Amino acid sequence: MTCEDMLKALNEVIDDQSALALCTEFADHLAGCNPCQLVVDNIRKTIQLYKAGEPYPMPEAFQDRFRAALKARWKQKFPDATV
Amino acid sequence: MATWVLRIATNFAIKVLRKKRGLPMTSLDSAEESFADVPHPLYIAEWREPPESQMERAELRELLDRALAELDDKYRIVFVLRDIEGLSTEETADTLGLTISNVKVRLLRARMQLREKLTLELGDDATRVEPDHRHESPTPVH
Repeated sequence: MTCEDMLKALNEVIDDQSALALCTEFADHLAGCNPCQLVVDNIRKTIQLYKAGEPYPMPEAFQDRFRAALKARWKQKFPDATV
Repeated sequence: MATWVLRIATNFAIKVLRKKRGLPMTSLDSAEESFADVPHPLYIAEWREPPESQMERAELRELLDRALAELDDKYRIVFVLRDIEGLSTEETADTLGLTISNVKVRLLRARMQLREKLTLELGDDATRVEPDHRHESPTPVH
């Protein structure tokens, strides 16, 4: 298994543990490789931390500019719509 | 409809960021990217204990914010859409105008970089292991 194959498999396995069943070479490697097990665990925990974070509040000025940009784009795309 | 709105929001946010940094308004797209270019992990260790009990919430938040801010824009945006917002690979590709393959490569790059930065702060040095194999493709693992 090449390094590139391993990295591809790593991404899939982090997203979906059942992918491990499909990639027996990677599963066999992971079973016997502590550094790779730690990397997978680290990445899962990293994602959990970010997912658990509080949402960023949008500054009011940004909200106004964003709404204006959305309206302008909507008008451009649907010039006959009355919004 | 939702993807369309997301695309507008994403492009708008990217423009604001790039304008702020005085960067040219060029596309963040690039030629097909490869997993072979993703850097290997360097610092590998178990994390000491659940971070929430180890440091104040604000400190942890600062660490997460800093690590995310240090990512290249094109990797950060894929990580935010996929792993934080929960979009699928296909939805992310559609929103950003990227190929599915590029989304996957950029996502892995973002994950690996964030892992490295967080592990440097949160890792238990006593459990540190060296990567015991560096591959030059194509080479068998064992």
